[in-house]
Amino acid sequence: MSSLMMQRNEHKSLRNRALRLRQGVPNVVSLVVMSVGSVPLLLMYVWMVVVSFGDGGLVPRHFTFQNWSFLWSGLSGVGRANLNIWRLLANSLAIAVGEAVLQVGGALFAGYVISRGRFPGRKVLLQSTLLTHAFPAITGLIAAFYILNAVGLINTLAGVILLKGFGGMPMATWIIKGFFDDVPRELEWASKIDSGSRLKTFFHVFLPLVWPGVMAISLFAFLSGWGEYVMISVFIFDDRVNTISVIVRNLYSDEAARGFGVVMAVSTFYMIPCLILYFFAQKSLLKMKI
Amino acid sequence: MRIRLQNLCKNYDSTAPAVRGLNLEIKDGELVTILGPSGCGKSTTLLMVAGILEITGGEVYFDDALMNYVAPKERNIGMVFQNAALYPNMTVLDNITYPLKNLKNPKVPRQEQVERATSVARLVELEDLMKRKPSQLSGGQQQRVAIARALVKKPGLLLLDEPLSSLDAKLRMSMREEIRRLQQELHITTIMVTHDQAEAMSMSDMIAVLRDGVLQQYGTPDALYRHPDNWFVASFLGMPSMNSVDCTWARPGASLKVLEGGWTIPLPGSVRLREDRIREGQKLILGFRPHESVVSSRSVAAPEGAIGGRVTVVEFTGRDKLLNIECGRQMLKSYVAVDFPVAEREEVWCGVSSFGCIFDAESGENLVR
Repeated sequence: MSSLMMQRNEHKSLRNRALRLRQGVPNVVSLVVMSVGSVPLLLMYVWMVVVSFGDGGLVPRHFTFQNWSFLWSGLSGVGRANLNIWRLLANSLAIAVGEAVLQVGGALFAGYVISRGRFPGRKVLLQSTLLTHAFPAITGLIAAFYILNAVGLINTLAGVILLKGFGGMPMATWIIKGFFDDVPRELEWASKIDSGSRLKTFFHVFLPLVWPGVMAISLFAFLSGWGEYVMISVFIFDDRVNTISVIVRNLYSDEAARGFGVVMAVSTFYMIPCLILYFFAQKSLLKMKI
Repeated sequence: MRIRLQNLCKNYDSTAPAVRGLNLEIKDGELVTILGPSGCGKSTTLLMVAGILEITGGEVYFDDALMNYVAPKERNIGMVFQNAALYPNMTVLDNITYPLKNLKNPKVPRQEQVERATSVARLVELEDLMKRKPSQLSGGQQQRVAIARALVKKPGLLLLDEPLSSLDAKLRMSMREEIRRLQQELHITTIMVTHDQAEAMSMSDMIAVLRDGVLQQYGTPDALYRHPDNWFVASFLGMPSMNSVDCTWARPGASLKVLEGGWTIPLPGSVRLREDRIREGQKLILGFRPHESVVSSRSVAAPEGAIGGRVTVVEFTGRDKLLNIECGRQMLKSYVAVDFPVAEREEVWCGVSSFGCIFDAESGENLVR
């Protein structure tokens, strides 16, 4: 009797250890399920990086920097020209940053007004912003082509930036509106009484509080521009204003001639800015709720 | 600054009006409390005075200037909210200087901003915390920063919207004194909104009791406590609240008959009633405070005008004992001395020693002049 009691009270007794193990079982199960989903995905990226330093086959045999030579000597043999990778990078950046600035600028003010303003048509506006996401974007492609052609923005980065920027604005507005909704009314009132003008209240009181949201929608807009492929391949025909996304696709179809090494090297290069951004924006993204 | 509210009304979209025809006059340097249960329109009133909510009808005057269409920032007011509402991204110093930073003519130089903020911070004993962020402060400290921020502009009117209700009980007591002291020192006209009657009575020069957007009574704490105009005011003020005994007239204007038990309570000759409101067979509520009663043992003969009852609970409060007495279905509370010999379940007589409150049961109005 007393020995049983002793055994129960000891942390390391066999019985207690078994109990503890049993409590851990559900965790193990969920870990296994999650690993089955995520590890192959992660491995694909690792493989990509490995192949980029290999000799061209999907199973690399030697280690080499040969595939990365495009960084200093340009990409040769894609289409007709010898392409400068830095120029492609600049184009991709221009689209991504341009879209982010346009979209965040618009969404920030629109979200503020929709969240805080009371005006006729507010509800309709709110609902219709979501409606724009009900249709696949691809259906508007032909119309967009004609419009860009008419205003002379076809075959330019500006055209794509405008389309992408305004296309994503409704969703960004929705997200940032949620952040504005969370700012207590009293803060706004306090600022009103403390003689802050509307703009001052916006910049000094609201903006610091919705900053995580601004970071989030900026990141989304940037990534959406960075990864854009369809619009660029449809609206831009000039190789000199091409972006990395299109070139990766072209390289891939050329793969037979040169192996996978260069494709994977360019792809890895293409991913680096996203990784850096995610690293810095992680904290803000975690604060987001939709 | 003198404040005058004239026939002030507020309707939120088509629902019942939140404030109906409120008239208030506030003298320079007074602290006036708007008191009422939640949803009675007191905060709405305050926000209209501040200029944050649009006024549906009526006028707000500061001194003799009509304020209805003046923007909040031009009204020269300071306001403190229930949850402090500090700007979370700014330090305490920046929070306090924010109102000064925005002043246009004349502009306040940075040096002077800091000096003024520091001197206000000293008033509320915050000068050691100027570098902190609001999240690093306790609730009481946050509220003091909010008060400093409201005062730094030297406003003509200070508005306090339930400034103490987010604080714990002990802190609330000390902040009551502190706010009152500041208000007196600076001689600043103040309107405070609260649902806590003890807060209102301990701090105010005048109290306005509001119910469903209608002003019930406006007067000094003493007047409201001792001569409430109606049953609502009487029952809202005082803790424990006023006892009520359902009665009717035994002889109109001269003696009461308790509905349950049939005891007769003669009124002293000194009680002056509003004769014109007295009707035969009128239903009445006799009100008296727990300390306005005399309890005696059932072993002696009934004193004149006493009600018979049974003690259910004896609460020891420290200074005295509070008896809960059951008289039929009515519960009465009565204070007795600590050494008064009484046990639970004992039968007692409960006599009323003060007749300031005899209400008409239907209209609720006080029949005592």
